[in-house]
Amino acid sequence: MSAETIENLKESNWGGGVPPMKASYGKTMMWFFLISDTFTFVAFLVSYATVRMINAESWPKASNVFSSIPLPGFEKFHNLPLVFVSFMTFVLIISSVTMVRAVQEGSMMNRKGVIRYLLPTIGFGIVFLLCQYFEWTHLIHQGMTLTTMPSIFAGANGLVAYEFGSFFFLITGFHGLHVLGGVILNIFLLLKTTMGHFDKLGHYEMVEKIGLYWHFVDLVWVYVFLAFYLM
Amino acid sequence: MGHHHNETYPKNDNHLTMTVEEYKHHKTDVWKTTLFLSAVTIIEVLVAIYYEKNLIPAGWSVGLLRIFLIVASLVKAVYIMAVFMHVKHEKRAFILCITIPFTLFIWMIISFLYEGNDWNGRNKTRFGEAPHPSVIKQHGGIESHH
Repeated sequence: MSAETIENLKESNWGGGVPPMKASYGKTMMWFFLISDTFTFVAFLVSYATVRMINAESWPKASNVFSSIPLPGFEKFHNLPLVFVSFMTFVLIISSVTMVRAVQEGSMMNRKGVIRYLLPTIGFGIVFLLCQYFEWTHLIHQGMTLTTMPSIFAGANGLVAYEFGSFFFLITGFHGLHVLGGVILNIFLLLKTTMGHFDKLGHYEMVEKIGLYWHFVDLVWVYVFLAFYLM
Repeated sequence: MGHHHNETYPKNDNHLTMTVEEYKHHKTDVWKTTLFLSAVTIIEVLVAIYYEKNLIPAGWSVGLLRIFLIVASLVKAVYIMAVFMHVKHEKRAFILCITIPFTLFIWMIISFLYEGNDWNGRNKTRFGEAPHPSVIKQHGGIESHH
């Protein structure tokens, strides 16, 4: 091939000269990871749905299991189904919004803007984890563990589905572990930003990559919320 | 500066990866999406409370409401990916690389739910409405319908 042909080829979309997907290595690899993580979560949620269908008659009602606000001082509110978890959902949505704003400020090379939006993102992440701590504690006190289910959570046929606890704690726990990881990554990001690391580097791509991860955690919660609380 | 690390980043000479117009447009897009996601979540919660408390209006089916919840969650997922995760501004080839693997879930969900439903039916045929023997064994204290 003549040098000119090779040059023409390189300028074509898949010729090797230009990045055809306009995505950096790091961002592409973050997507690879997120897609593989999606498969893990879908496997969990589909197995949950299968076991739930097998035990359809003894499966507890969500409004029965999640009927109170498990915060100290809120013990007298007994019949408020899904209120607390809706609050948790909003906390996660808002933290996703502040994260995407941090990414946008990063792409404008605005260091102060990135810090301004990373701080609430970390805060909301911690609030979510605390909420999960209180909810878990409340359920464990009621007698729900990985292997046991109290009779107050019996299903329509008067029996309990002892699988509920193991699925609930393992899936929300795995999601919570992702949130914890995200909070740690965001704190790392905040420190790096404050030290001016990304200004020296010349771009804020790291904010974008960790942002993708954080939105993924929000995305998974949409389905955890659907599977355990709404359905 | 920065170019030797990564050739695709940043896109233009003043190291900004977005133009000011793009930035403004994306910003409004994010606020609109936030409102939309919040509204869908509120409707979902109301629907869930209504059918769990058996307050469904006459003629409405629980199955239909559940399908609504699933579709609403899918719509939320699409918006989070498209706007928050920036997917709608990616190259077409990149969008396809991300979304095509998800089509594997279609058969996974159909087959596993079929399996679960079938198993439920078989248990009923074998044991009637009584619990599975393994349940009694592990939870001796629980009342059974014998």
